[in-house]
Amino acid sequence: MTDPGDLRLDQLLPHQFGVIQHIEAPDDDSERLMSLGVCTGRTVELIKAGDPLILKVFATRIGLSARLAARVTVRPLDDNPASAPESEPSHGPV
Amino acid sequence: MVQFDLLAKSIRAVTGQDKPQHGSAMVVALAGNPNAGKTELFNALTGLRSRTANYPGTTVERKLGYLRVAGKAITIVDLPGMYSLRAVTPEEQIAHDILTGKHPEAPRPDGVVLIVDADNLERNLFLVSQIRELEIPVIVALNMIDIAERHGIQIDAQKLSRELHCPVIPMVAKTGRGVDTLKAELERWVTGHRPKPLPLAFPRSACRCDSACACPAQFQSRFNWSESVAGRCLKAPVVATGRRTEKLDRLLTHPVAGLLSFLAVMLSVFYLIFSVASVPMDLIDGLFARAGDLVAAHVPPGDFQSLLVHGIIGGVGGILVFLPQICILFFFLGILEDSGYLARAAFVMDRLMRRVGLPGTAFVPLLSAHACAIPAIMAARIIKDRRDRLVTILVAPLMSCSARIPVYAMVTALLFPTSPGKAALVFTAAYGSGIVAALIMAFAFKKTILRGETKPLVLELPGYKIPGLRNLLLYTFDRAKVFVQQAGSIILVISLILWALATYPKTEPSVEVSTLAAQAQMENASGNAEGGAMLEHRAADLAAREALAHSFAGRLGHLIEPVVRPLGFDWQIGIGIISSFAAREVIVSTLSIVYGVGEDAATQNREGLYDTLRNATRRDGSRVFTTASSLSLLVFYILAMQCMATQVITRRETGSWKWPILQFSYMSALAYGGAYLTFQGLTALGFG
Repeated sequence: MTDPGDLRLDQLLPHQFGVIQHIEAPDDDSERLMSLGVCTGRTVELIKAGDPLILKVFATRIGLSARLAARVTVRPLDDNPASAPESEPSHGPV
Repeated sequence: MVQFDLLAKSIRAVTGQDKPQHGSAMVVALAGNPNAGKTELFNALTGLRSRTANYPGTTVERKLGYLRVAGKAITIVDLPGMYSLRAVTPEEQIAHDILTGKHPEAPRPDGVVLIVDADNLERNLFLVSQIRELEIPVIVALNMIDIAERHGIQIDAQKLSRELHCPVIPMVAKTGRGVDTLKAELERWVTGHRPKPLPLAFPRSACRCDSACACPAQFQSRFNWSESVAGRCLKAPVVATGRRTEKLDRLLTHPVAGLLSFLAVMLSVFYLIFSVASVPMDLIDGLFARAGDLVAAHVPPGDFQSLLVHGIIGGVGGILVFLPQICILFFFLGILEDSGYLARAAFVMDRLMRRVGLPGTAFVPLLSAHACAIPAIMAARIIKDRRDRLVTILVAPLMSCSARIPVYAMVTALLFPTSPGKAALVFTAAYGSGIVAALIMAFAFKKTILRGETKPLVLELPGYKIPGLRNLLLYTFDRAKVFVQQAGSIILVISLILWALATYPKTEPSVEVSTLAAQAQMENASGNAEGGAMLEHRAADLAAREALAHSFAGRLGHLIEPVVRPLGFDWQIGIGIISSFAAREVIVSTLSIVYGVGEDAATQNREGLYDTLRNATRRDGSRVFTTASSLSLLVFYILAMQCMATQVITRRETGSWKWPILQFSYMSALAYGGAYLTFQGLTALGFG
């Protein structure tokens, strides 16, 4: 399940994509994240690094405190998902 | 007679007789994600035929509206916005309970109109999948298709309807496009063609739990389903979206530029509240003054006249004078919120505010509190976490509101009558002290009774939109109505009590007053009308002063003198403090009466009042208003909770008397301690 290449969500570079692997946060925090689409298996894009940071999942931009982002594990994608056939045809990169 | 109309309304609001009588044929709930345009659709359907209350025992707003379709009444319940059926916030809990029929007060709706943001179909479909499982008829309102189309998103509504097994109506709620089609669909429901909800072909996840389960697998499989449904219903592949949003965001969420833009925006709103509101405020003030004069001219002098003029007209005027500021603030807050900017403001302020344990969203109410704490406390609703919201409400009244300005002006004029520079310095220091006190107290509350980490920021940054005017006006109207009905009625009762305290018990005029009155009559008889009028005026001033000194309020002033003496105050200031518990600015007119300058001096002859106060002496001949006691008075007014209206609103917004009582207690303690240290310290340094 874990991969040496996995990163914390706040470690993604701007405009880098990653697939959510795991969320290790108190129940209500992780539920807030999941109901906004930050949920295991989803591809997210980091729009803006910093604290708080900005994240894009589906067509939604989400402002997220770095403290909480550090509790989310992602597997970075080398290419953006539009050119990666195995990932979904969601609202693509900007 | 506006005021009597209002009075009647207030009484109805208090006695609960304003519940509309309706034999509603059907109850329809409006559900959807936040920012999906739910309120816009609610307004488009019901307009002014709506009312707002709280769900019993909570501070969650319950909005009900009424709509007539095919001659039948439909009640529309506007549910709080929610991302999922899982109840994380109190708002989501109530929405969940109502939709599942578990709410003790609200009956289960007959059907649901589910608003879906066409520009963000995949994420919105998540909630659709949960609500479609509830075995309740659903109409999907596919809102904001204009924005989606502009982004190149073409949704096949018929295909989506087949996927979801329910009607899907494309619409733009803001402009009314598609709303008639929705009404026609509701007409089918109300005339008995409500379909039995078909079960949704939803692939179950590996875990065999119900729709409200929170395990990640549930979320994952639902999102996968949403994505495949959305994929099948999109007519064309989506090209790049949100370039404009990203450009604007780069500026508005920048740590420095974003902060500066936010300060500029808030200062402009703030400026408008002070500059534009002053015109209607003066108008309202003048109108009530004229109404008072009119009544005084037609009603014989006596207790009844005084009750009408000072108790009722003065009381209602004192409430309504806040209305322009409230309307302007909420109109602009509405613009900030509907345009999507408020989320960015919260985003940039978050890191700064977090240092004192408050979320970024708290900044807006705290800044608004500089105009008036009442709209600020109402605006604290934008803070989602209960603890964060309570802290903000508790400290908001420490900000220097506009009602403190007359007191600040009086003290600076007493201290530095000829030095505008020093006066400006006192003003700035007063505002600064309020802000520092609020931040310290927020920190203290977070460390003690409202302990706990501020919720980490998780905030949707919606796309920028141009706000709809109808929505803004209805929102402003709604806030104003809440203020007048709920605060107004109680404030009126309190001002009547204060009027009674300052009027009773009655005393016979003293020998001095009678002598003056007799002299006035003699002067009048001898043809010296000017001298007679002057003497009459002096007699009236003296009588008012004596009446107040012997009234309950005056006795209370004497009673608390030992308590306020360590602060450098005498019994006259004591009366001022008591009377200003209804509203701070009252102290200026009270001091005019107790120091015998006459009530008119407070408005017409400020300099005369200041001179009198400067020269006022105690029984032992020492001056009352020294540097030490004036500054002590200033500190007291910066920190004290002296506004019944604010207390009433705190009660309403927190749902319990516990919080206004705490607010009153800690602020009074702070004010007493601060004034004590100021007076004793300055006296020791030789400024007594």
